[in-house]
Amino acid sequence: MAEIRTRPKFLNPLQIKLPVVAVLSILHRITGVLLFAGALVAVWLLNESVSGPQGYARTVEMLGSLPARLALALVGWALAHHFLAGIRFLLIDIDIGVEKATARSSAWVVNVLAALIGVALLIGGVA
Amino acid sequence: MSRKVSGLRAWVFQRITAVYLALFFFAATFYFLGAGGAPFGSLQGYLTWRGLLQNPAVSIATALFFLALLLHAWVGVRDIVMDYFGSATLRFTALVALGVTLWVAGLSVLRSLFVVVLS
Repeated sequence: MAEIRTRPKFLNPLQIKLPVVAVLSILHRITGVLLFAGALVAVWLLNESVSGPQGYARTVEMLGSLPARLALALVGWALAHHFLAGIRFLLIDIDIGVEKATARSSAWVVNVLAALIGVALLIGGVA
Repeated sequence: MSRKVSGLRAWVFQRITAVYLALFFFAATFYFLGAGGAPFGSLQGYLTWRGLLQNPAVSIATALFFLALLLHAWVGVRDIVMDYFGSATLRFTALVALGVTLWVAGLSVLRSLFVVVLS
């Protein structure tokens, strides 16, 4: 079938205009991946922190460092976005907020609120 | 590949674990905000931390948290693998790597909690 080879392809990220709900959705996935990495780190930190007084001290010291605070702000944003977007999806599961206008405004709320939380964590962590 | 965690079952697991994760996270946050930084610095902090984890309710709730987290992560990351990895071989490899990672993480947490409780 020759038509398949000439099928148009448009994947320029600089030109694609994603609706806000699509931004929320892909961020939900991206924050999920970030949180997955964060979860593995959290497991490692937990194990370290109970391994003995030295392990505990190392963990506390690591968590206080600047790179860790930046990472925590990023993970905090990821958690806020993933959680809030997740709530929005749960509500949509039970048919709340399915209408286009509501869906778009709730998507805006989630994106902005999560970003604000992220900024707050960044300022609070670095200050 | 994982018939046991597919379709409707995966969807339900993802929602149920999400609720538990949220509840635990808020409870933990309130606890740590209430406790303040004070009891958790230095050697006294180490003993406080271990003491906290020795509490049966805390250790079980924490173990459940990590189990829920890993199950939730499995459902989510598997969706990503299924969406973006076309070849069956690549998908299989990725899912096996994911599964092993999650199992190792989960068992290591259980072991740590066990060691703390027994000491």
